[in-house]
Amino acid sequence: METSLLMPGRGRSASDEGSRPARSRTTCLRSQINVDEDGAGVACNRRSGKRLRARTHASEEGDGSSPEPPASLPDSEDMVREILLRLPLDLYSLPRASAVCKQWRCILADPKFLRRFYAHHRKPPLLGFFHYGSTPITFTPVLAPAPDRITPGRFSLGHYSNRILIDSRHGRVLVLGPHQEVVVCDPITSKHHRVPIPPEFNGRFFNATVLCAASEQGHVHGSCHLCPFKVVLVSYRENKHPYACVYSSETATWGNVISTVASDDTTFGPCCSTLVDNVLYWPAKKKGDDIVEFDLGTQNLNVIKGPPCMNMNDFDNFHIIDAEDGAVGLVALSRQLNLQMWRRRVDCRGVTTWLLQKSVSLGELLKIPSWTMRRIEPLKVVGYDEDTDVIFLESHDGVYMVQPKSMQARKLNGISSTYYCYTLASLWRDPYSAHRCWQRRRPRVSFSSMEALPRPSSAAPLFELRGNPRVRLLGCRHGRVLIMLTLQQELIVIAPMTGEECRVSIPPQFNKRYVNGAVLCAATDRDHVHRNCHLSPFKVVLLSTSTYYSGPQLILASVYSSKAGIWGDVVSTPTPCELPGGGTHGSLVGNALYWLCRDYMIEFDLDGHILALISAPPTIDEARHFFDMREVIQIMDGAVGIAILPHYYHNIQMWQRKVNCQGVTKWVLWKTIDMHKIDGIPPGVKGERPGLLFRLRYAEDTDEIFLYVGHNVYIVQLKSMQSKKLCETQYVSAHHSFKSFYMPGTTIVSGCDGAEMLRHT
Amino acid sequence: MATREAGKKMIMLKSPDGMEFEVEEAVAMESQTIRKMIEDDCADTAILIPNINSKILSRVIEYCNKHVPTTGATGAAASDTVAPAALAEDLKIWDAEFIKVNRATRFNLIQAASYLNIKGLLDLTSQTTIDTISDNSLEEIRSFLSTKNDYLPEEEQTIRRENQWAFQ
Repeated sequence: METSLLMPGRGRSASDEGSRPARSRTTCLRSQINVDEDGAGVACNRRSGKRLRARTHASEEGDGSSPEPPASLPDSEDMVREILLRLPLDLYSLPRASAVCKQWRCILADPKFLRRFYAHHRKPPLLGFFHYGSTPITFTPVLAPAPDRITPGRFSLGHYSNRILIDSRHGRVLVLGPHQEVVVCDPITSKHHRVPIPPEFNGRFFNATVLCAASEQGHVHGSCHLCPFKVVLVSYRENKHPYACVYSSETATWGNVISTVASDDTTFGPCCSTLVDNVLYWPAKKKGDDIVEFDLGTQNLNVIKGPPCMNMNDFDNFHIIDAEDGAVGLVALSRQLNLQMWRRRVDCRGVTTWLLQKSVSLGELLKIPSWTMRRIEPLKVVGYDEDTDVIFLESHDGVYMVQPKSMQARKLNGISSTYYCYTLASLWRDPYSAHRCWQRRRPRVSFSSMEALPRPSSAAPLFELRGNPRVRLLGCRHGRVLIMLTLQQELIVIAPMTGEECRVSIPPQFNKRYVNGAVLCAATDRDHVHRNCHLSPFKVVLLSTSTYYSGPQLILASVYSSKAGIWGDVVSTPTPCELPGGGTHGSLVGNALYWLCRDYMIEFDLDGHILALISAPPTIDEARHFFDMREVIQIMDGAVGIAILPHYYHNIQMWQRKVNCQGVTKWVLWKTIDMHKIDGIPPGVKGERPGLLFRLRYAEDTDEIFLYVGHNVYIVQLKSMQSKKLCETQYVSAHHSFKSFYMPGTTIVSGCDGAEMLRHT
Repeated sequence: MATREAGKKMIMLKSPDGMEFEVEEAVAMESQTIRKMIEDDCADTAILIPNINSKILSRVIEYCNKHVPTTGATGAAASDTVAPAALAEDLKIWDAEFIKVNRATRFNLIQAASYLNIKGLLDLTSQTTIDTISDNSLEEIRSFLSTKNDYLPEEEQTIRRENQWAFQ
């Protein structure tokens, strides 16, 4: 691992040795003799003669240049697993191997295999680092042979590239967001998670740290993409007395503020933390030799003393490191151009001392002749990666990677000045395996009723898009929101609860077509309740009823599965028909999605992936009006119905679909709710359109109808037929409300509903 | 030397094609599978090693013979005379030579190592296989391992597209 880090090339001892045949052959003979002399070798093997013959024969086979007979792996998955386990950790080997055949992909996505794989390699590879100066945040790869394979945009932080980097650890990067928030970015999966900072830190300078919170045994950091994480903020009252606060993504909450006292002659400034075991350290970077210590286990915040060199050193001349065995260390650049390594020792009486363990001439280390050494000044420590134990040093002529334990150094070419190197040590992850390695834990904040929806005005914007892209909100379900970027032909699935974003390109068959879409949870476990699905895999169903051109068209549908990471086959209706385009909203009833489109209901069966066109109830009060609001609902368990808010808003009618034994569909009026029976709604009069705007929406999970009347929201429980006024909202504007009210159901507690989102689109 | 010989317990290993190999217990115990059998006292008579023919089994024994002194308790004498680093280097070179076999033999060795649970041999054979193929194209990998591509063209396209950077 150490050599592969600093010296490009993968660990391949066996074949490397094989490239020196002359030497190895003689040694081999010698070793053979040794074995015989030793007596342990051949022992009493009766077949020794045969064995040696077989051996010679085998060597000839291997050395021979004649084409080998075709040989296939014995049909055993265990063996394939054994071989794949030894794939190198260089980020591109796994995706390539995944493309060999389905069996390989299944193995490489299997969490059990991945656990073994990570355990086999023990440490994630250091892929490179993020840094910024006058340019946006850029990624510089350092892992060979990956550098030339990783395109500059590969690990981009997307629209957070112009923000300020604060920290990176365990495959995640922390940047300062635009709205009093920090954003946790996962460059591997391109997902972002926004964390609003607690009020105690608003308007103050703070140091922030992100780290993986996985607690399962044998977890190797680098495969943390789906594991929970923590963010720790530390700030200083009047730049002196530290206080800290921990955010946990599991509960989506900040803990209590913890404070401590530091000596008066210390001044803290911005710096990066170092994680040693389960303890974080931030040094005083401006004045003094204090180090702030925060134990994540006991939640203790302390101030400890650093080694004497800290006080004498200039800014940026040292970095706290992990000195192995849970001890804290420090590397410092001395005035005499030595690299010093200090280690903190605590004796049995609790007395701490700092020991100078090593002092190495920087000229020797960086292989710079002594007479030019003065020229590379000033040297700075500009980064440290705990997982792979690498220090970054910067001089005016470039950046060096130094491994303090082995005292090996390597110069990185083509990198000019950097403020700080935020390292990325991570592993590739197949989207296919995405859902599996999560340990299910229910968030502490659970949803009780719709009243829990906070006022949108107080919530931070859910989603930010740079520029002014054309977006459409296609639907919300099971805690996810589906957005379409119309120009890019791309879909974005967002889980507001976790802040995760997933981008999916629209299959080419849907180009130049009106598109309707639905997102839903794809969890298949029997006891799954659609409540915390943001960690389960999801499906996206796209439906297109027509192209941009007129005339009868085939209806197309396709399903994207986040588990497989691919779109399924495009299915279509057998005969073309002429229907209007997008803008309708799908409902999930049983295991089928329904869209209403003029006089038809389009059914997409999620089990069999079958599209069907069903006639909708043809008449509502004699003539269906263009302004009727209609919504597919579930009447009873699995029975499909349609709720209709007629043009004059005087009642809500619910129709039930009945299919007789010959398969003939009939629509029956199931129930009618008179508007005047709902408290607070001005009674509508048949034949007279009230001045208020009415909207109807159906929430699948709770089996409720939402009625938006002016600024008020009412709910009607379909089973009990009870109704009540829910809340007032300022967000129902005539212009937005038509497509904005997708009820996210029972999952989203962070107060971001469709209206909130649309405000920003 | 003679006293050491006398104290040795021998184990008989039988391949399915009827060959018998008598090996030291310590050598046989390089295989965790056999070790377990011995420790469970299931090894009174000859141990039949299924699925591994005599040619492969003899090579496996050769490997264990070579590797037993460095890992087993009997290696004390050997390590005394040779520096550990030199010994390791020596073993590495020996391994490199040992693994110069054709594909069929190598695959059989992986299978044998996997069945007999010999970690070193499994590492050696699997790592060599991976090293051989890791720089090859997908087609070369498939033909080398005689693995059938069961992806539909579109599926493979999608996988390639998703990780385009890995295929450049």
